[in-house]
Amino acid sequence: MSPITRRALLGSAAAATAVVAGGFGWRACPQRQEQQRVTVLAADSYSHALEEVLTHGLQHWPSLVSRLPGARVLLKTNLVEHHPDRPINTNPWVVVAAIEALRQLGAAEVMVGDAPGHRRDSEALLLGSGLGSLLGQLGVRFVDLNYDAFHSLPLQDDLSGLRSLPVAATLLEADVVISLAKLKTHHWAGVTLSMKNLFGALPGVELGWPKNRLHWAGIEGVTVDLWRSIAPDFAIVDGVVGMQGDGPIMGDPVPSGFIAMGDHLPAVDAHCARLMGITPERLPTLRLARAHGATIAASRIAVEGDRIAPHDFELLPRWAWLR
Amino acid sequence: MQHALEQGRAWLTSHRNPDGSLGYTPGQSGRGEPTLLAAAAGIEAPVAWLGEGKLGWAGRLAPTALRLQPATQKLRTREIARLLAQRSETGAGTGDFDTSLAAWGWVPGTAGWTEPTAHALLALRADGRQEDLRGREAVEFLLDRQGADGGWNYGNPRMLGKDLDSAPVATGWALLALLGLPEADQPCSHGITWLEDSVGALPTVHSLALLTLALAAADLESATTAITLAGRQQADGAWRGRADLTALACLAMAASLGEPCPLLLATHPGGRP
Repeated sequence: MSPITRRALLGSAAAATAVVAGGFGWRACPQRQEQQRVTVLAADSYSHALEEVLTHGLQHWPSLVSRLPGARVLLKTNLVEHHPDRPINTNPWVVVAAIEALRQLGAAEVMVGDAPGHRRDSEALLLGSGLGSLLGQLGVRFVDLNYDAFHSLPLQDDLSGLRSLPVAATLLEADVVISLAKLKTHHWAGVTLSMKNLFGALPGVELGWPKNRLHWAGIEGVTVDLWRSIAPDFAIVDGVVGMQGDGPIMGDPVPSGFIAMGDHLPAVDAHCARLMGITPERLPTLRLARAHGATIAASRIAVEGDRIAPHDFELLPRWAWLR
Repeated sequence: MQHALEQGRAWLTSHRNPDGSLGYTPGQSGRGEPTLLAAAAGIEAPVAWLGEGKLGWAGRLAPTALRLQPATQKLRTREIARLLAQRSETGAGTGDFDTSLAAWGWVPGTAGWTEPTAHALLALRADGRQEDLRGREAVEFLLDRQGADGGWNYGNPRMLGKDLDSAPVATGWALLALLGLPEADQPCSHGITWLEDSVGALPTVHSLALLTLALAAADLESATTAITLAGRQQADGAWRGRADLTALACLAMAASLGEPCPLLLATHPGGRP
């Protein structure tokens, strides 16, 4: 299938959904959220056992699994900065486990990509984090989306007022896009999970380091725009060890012991927020997403897999009201 | 090293688009940064393409990168005028750093950041304007944004009361812009120390190239890092398959070998270290 056709199809589908939803007053009644599912699996440490966890988790998603044979998959990881004592990035062992699981399920090619928002030198991030070495052993290509060609993507709803944004061509042209995010607090957004991870779909050579235009336009509007417009196929959140306090860079590690996944990113993020002791309805991004078709209500999210007890993440005083 | 430089230049030449421009990677449409860095590294500048006005933030590199090419005077004058018309958004000034200082952002309507401001200062110095108001603003901004560790990151040295880590690439550009200015002597000395330590721990192509350039600009021994950088060259002559990195590596080789290097013009007006 040609890449542009795939995304054009996504655009048409989204438009059709909007028309149908509008006709039934869906957006005017955000409490009537569509039923969604999230899979959560216990994972106490970063090890080879994660592959089994990921494979088991993905089996809960036959609609995704059926699309994997022969597919080119992009794992959009979260690679920001490297510090040995701070869990800033999606852990490399989660990336490896996802690659192995996707290969086992028939993916023809699995690529890993990101457009780090603070650092121009992705070689340093790959070397420092150890991800580069592991990808080399697996023969997997890392695509530095900061330097990728791009397409100007019109924004669904245009909540940010930016009308369109440059999105990395490799991501738009992949058959399957998975947001492979990290469980973290975020000093400007409250949390950063699978939706905020999409900032890394945009090339730095167009927007700079950091992508300050997105901050000036409003993080929540841009985040929802990116979710709606890129329409990633799936989300996996590395919550084995999360970050609390002054995330996404300067926070402290907190063992959380789980991997979460699902095909509706707001539902995955909402459930992760609950496991962090945060009320998702109070998060500006999820609140805005809810007004634009997202499901975040606990009553509308069926949680499958292992039972994980919530753990109250430390929050900066400015976000204390998220509890 | 001379061989590596020639191989690098040959790779750049052979990967130009029909209009003479270079993308970041082979086959990509032309982009300002790799095209200008390649021109600085001795590849013929595609004057017509550069004149089309599609350079964006990379246009601030033009006055420095094209300094040794007389045929580009009109383009350089245009880009100086453009950058003088640009001014980053500012804030109240208090907090972790001075947000009231005007500088240059990557794109219009945003805050000032390290690398775009360093590019602008290099351009202003190359044009003899370092004592103008905008040149002084750039210097003040960069000195304000230096981190506690001695280096620079993208432009937030401190956030919510915590010192943030510096980064080699931003530090390299800040040093190239500031070296040779008397008020920056001590900050640059700290910056070079931080950069050497950092690159020593994690010697990437990008950081090695900028460290070599900074050492050459500071009249310090740069052959060792240049040789290490040469050792990272691919068999086809590129560095990491990227035109911008290959051009930067060529510039570093040239500087270390004593060849004219436009990026050093601010500190070495004749173009030679």
